[in-house]
Amino acid sequence: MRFIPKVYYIYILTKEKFVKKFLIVLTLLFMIALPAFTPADQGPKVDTNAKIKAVFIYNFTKYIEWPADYQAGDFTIAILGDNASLYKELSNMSKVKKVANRPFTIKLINDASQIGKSHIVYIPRNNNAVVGKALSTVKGKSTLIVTESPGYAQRGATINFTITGGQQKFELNKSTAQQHNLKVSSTLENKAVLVN
Amino acid sequence: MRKIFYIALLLFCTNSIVGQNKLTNAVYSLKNNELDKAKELIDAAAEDSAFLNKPATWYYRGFIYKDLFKRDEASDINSELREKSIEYFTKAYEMEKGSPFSKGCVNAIKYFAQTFYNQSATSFNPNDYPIAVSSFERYKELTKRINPEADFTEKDIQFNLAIGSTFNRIATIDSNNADVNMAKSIEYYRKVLSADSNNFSANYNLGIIYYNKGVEIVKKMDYGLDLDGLMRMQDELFEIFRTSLPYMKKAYDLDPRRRETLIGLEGIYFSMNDVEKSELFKKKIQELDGGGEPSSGDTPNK
Repeated sequence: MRFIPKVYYIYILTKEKFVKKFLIVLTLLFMIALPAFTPADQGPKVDTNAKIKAVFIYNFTKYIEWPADYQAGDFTIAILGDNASLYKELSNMSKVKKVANRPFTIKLINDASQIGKSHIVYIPRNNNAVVGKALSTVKGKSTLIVTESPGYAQRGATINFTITGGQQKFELNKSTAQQHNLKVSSTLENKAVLVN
Repeated sequence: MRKIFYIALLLFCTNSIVGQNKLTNAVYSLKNNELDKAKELIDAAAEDSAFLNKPATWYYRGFIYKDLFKRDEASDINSELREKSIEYFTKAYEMEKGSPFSKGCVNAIKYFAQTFYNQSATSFNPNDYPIAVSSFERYKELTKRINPEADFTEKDIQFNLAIGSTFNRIATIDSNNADVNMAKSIEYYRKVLSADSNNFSANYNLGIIYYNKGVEIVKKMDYGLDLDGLMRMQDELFEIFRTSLPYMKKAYDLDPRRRETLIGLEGIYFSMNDVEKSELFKKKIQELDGGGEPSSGDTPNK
């Protein structure tokens, strides 16, 4: 809050005569110079899209069935590449959610060879160069590959995030899902853009 | 008969002299800063039929009460002395416009109007904002009393910006009533824009309010939200961010070098999944931070 003094004349009575005297007048200049609040008031920058993707991914765990040999132990989601926001959101999610009573393990990996027996591998768009290698690595495994770039569902990712009308949607490649022995529920299919 | 006439004449003269003394003595006491005595004398004069209709009586009464106000109740927002002084100056002013006292009355009322204005200016906080509102209204009412043609456009803009900001702060503090207070904040900023569509602060603040509203919804979103709910939520979010955009774009047009607007636009476009434009503004921020001019090409309106 800033007050800028302004001089105003008033007449007051003294012993001898009326004379001018100064009256300090405050002005309302609170908002002129600086905005009242900024995006930074939200604290650390919020990646709204990462949270939405995390909610999508949690839904994938509910509507996709992994084969029996993937039913034991933690449910592992790996991010192949750099996406700190999504990692943070998935980590937050793992603290409050489980998959059929199994806890989540969220990990950041930087090479396809580290995929191991992950249930889901998310490949950010800035790491599309490794998609081919990742697909080769998961051949014969029940790992759900999720990408976020146009055309990648056709190239072998089972799920690919897209933007339609400014909103996140997802493409589903059913045949790839079958190849990986992943059972996709009709609920998920109905919400997806199917590609083959 | 002759004897009765002289007695009546004597009584008349005595009353006149005593009455005259009340007024002149009151002014004399005022000059000597004997305010309590002056008040006593002027109150008596004001009830004297000989002086009841004289502007001078009300003018000096106004002055005495004004000085008492300054001495005893200057920090009292509900000062009765101030109210009485205003009443007396107004009475003197209306009794005889153009009298030797008129200018003094106008200046005194102007002075009191400014005290309400100052009172308003110092009350823009979550606890005292009703005082800010009522004091500002009083300031306007008193100003109009002496200048019916007074133009408050600029002052109204300043007031609406300040009260809009105050309601935003209240919304931040009182989370139970955040929506109601945020709506009030929006209402006041819109009032500013209806008077001045090029007001940077109102445009920027409206842009940020809507943006932050969207962000808050996302932050509170449950990870277990089902797909239908998520789709609906995205519709809602998109509308909120789309509402935010024109205000922030306008703020950017008004001041392209303002870092806050660049950050705002980067965030809004990002949340609307327009990565290309979001990156454009990210680059402008980097240019600004590097000490250069943000590139002027490819503004959001293009």
